[in-house]
Amino acid sequence: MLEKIKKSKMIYIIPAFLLLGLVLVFPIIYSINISFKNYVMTLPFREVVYVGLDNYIDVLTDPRFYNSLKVTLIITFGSLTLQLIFGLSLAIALNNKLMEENKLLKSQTIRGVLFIPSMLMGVIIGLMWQLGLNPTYGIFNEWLSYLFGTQSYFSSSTLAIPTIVFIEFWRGTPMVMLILAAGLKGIPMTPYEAADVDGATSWQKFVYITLPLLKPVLVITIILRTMDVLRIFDFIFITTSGGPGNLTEVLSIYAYNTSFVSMRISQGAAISWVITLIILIFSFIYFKYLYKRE
Amino acid sequence: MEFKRGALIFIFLIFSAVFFTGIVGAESWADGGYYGPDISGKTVTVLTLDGELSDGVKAQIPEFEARTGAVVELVPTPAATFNQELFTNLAAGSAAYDVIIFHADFSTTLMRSGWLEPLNKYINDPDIADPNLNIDDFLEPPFNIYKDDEGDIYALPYKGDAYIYFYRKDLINDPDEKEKFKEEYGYELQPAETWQQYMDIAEFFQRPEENLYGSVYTAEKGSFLVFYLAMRMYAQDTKFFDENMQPQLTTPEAVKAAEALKWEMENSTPPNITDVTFDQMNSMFAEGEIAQIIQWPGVAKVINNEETSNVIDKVGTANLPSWTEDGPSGDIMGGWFAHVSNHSQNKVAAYKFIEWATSGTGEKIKIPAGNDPVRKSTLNELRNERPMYDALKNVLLNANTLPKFPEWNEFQQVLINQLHSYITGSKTVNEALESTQNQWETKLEDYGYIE
Repeated sequence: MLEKIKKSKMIYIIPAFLLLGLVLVFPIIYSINISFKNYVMTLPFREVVYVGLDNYIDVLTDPRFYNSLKVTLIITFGSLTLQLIFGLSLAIALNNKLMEENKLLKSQTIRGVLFIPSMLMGVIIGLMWQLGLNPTYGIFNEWLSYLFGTQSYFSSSTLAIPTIVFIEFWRGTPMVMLILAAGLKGIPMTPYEAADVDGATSWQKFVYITLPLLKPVLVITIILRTMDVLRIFDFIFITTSGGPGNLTEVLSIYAYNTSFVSMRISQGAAISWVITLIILIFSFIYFKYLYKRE
Repeated sequence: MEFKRGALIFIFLIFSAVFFTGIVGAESWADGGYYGPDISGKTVTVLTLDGELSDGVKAQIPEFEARTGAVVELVPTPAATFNQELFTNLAAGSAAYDVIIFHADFSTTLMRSGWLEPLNKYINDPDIADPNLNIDDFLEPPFNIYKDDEGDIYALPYKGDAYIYFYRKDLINDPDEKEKFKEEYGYELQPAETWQQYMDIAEFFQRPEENLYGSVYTAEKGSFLVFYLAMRMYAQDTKFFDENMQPQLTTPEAVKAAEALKWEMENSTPPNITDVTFDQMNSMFAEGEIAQIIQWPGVAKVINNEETSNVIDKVGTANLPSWTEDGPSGDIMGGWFAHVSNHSQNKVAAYKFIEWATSGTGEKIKIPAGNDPVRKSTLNELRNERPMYDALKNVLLNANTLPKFPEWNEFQQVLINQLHSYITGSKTVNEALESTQNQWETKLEDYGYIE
């Protein structure tokens, strides 16, 4: 048996599997296990026992969970819509013949600069916008004050969510632009040439040629960006921490606050698995209804 | 002969005095020495909050190391992750930290957790405890926060923290201001003794055109909001829970307290109060933009900074106001405490460090960093140099604390969310307080405090 294993190529990948098991499989199993218990870190003297589905029921009957879900969906679909519109527009612009003919506009520098927001870490983005929109000394707030007056963007009950939507739109659009630009490059010119012969307008070419041929790339983009934004955490934690009140408390911040601020570890684990399930459901819907092979 | 014998006796007495004084006097923190077991070569790792606390510890380390030969490694941790860092390490049984300098919030939990080393065996051991330890020198109320019903001591108080009323003497004592104030409000302008007077003074000095504001708070989402509400409720002799653990947040007193707080934040503070941070509060007061502030005593360090402060020698201190002239004050304290971790591999060395850090000698070293003393002797000794210490001592002797049951942290988070919603305008006062009350009642039932 041992000889068989030694001869087999499996022996070379066992260490990798062991490592994977340690850093991936074990935490997942532990997380599932703890989500069925009643562990609260600030009550270490309380006996930790299995409580069945109590944590999941508590989450699914908690108004705060539904508030977090609502906020997450608003931010996700609000920013995603803007990202798709502007990302596709930028992608089309980058692939435009005029762009191709202009040395400066064609250069990688411009594309690199456009991509900066997507390259920044979420914490940096949060700090940048927090400082920039500070009503006392923020430069962005100063510029915007000529249009809207000085505002507390992150503390306002009316402006906090739109501000978060805008920042996520600002961050995610370059990634969308990049993916769609690559997708546009893969579309053959033949249908466009045929359309030109038939006298089609630019809009008709866009609707009847570009969009259908770009659809597979669009679906992948939507899936990837949706999964990213549904898990959004970093810059929201830095800027609002889910406030004012719970107004911008997205699902991941709800999970974080439950686990590490209220120290309800078991309930936090249950919330995390509910979030995972929600993301899986969205992925399933996208693949089933958007990604229909012709 | 007699003279010779007398001289010998005299010399012997002098020699004995020098000899014994040399041993006993030098073997004590107070006498410039060290008393206790040999801890040279031991490493003591200290976890505390980054900022004032870590700066205070940093100032104390060199002399401790010089006297004992031990090595101290300081781990300053940012506020955002401090609680998590502490609890995850303690819960995991980690020996990463020997000494923890932590606040009072989780005192009941920590005392019952088994994570902290009871200090009685060190304090009562004549071979370990410094001869001048003098436990009775600590102010009793803060000292008792980490003393359980069986008399086990789980911490030595490190930093005396209680909200103090700081006011601008130059503004309040100004004859022109006094005259105008009396004309407008019908009574003498003086440091506020009631909350209504506090609000009147804040309103009176609200002059944005002169860059002067009546008061300032930090209205960021955090535990400060809970303290602000508590000090206004306690001043009406109303706590968050009654003696039967029934929440009191829908009482008229709670509503009055919340409304008063919001009124101040909307009418007598700088604009965009919800974006003002804790450090900005202190800076604004020290720059002379604020007439009065209710703040932890650490603000004194900023007030007395000769390079940046515009209000040196212009600030007076007093207890917090009450709602009526003879009513209870809203004095409320927190505090920071030095513990030995039960998982530590160097418990004796850890104990000697916290003994040093909280000794009469060690206390004075950390004061410039903003960590005020908790020993009566130190407060008395320095009261002329630091007039605030009279108010601080008075407050620490009489102040209340936030609730101290193990599950309080969860309750506090609920209150913070609802209060912040109210302050920022997304909920009314009744919506916020009723929501908190309902959630608290559910939790109290779940935890078996009420039926």
